[in-house]
Amino acid sequence: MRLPLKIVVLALSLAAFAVRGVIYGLLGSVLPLAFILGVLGLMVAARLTGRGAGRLAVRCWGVCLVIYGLLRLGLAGLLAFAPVGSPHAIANTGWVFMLVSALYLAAGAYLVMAWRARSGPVVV
Amino acid sequence: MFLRVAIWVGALVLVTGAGQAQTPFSQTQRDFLTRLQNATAPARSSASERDIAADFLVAELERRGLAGERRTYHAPNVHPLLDLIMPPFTGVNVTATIPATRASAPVIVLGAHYDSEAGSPGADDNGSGVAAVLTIAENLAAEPRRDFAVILVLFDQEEEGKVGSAAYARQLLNAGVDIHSMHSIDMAGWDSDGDGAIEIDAPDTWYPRYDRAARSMGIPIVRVTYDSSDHVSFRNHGIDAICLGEAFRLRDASPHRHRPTDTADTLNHDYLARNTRLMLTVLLDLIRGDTP
Repeated sequence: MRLPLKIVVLALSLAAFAVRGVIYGLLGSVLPLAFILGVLGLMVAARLTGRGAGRLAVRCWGVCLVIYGLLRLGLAGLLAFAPVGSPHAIANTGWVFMLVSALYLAAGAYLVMAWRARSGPVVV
Repeated sequence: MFLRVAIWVGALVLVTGAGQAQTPFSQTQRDFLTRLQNATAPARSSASERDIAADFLVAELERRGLAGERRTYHAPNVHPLLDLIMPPFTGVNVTATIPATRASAPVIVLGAHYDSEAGSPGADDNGSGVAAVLTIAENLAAEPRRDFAVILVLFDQEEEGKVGSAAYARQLLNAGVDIHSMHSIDMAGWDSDGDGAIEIDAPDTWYPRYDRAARSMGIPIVRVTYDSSDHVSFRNHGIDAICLGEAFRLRDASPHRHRPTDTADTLNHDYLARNTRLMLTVLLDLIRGDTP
């Protein structure tokens, strides 16, 4: 069985945040885990509501990913031009960080487009 | 003639003796700081620079007969919102344990951070603290009676926001270690006016001990409170935590701090040695059981 690409992208984007949530949860920081559990909860609730709410929830998630990607790219750009005294920030906002940010941005844009409402049947 | 020779010899003994009594550690600490600076140039800031520094410090502990250990940690970001964007901190605290000479003794943590700002050799901030705690640990280890175990820990990533000490405090508490108190030194090698004054952040229960020892050594001591050093990571967990350093409030702190000029040459090594001796005196009294 082949999963549609839009399902794969949605699952991967959620999984990325879930992994982050678990890693930080083990370190005693609950915000990332609370965030992804909140997102998942809203998606399940929207899916159960029906009437296209699930689709809308995924598109909202896509918008969030676009904003997230832009925020990360903005942060990387800021750190490149405005020097900060944090070796941690400098070391972790290099080209890999920017590439991953661009992937989040692309995934978000793809989800917004791929989960548009289907047009209903044309009644003649 | 005999009288004249006797006076000269007496004067020489007095001068040499007085010099030794004042600054017994200054030359060894100067040598250590020069070695540290050479081994970790230009700074101890990036991950690779701090990694080299950690290895160097383990070797230094072993030179002193202490088994040094690298303790890698991962820690959340300083602001929780950054956890959604940035990866966790990764660093290495360097530790060594001096066991007590009696069973089930509480632990005294003796610490200083070893990282520095980018581009700064960090002789005062905080090579001076590292030199002090290494000297103190060496002397405590030589004591025949130790009522407390002593954990020496050289913290990573203080300059990032006390990350290494926060991680280490959590590790100790999660392991159920009975921590009696935490003593740290952060920047203790600058005294341009030669008054020898120091500042100390200590709880009410601890300040009198340091004050008493300082007075007996003729060291002017000023009590202050601040949140900018590693002792806070322990104080946040309700542990008695003390930090000793040069006179910031009296405006006699190093102008080289966080600069490329913070080198071993700019330090007042006699001042650092006296501060070392002050903390050593308090801790020796404690582990010998001389004070409650």
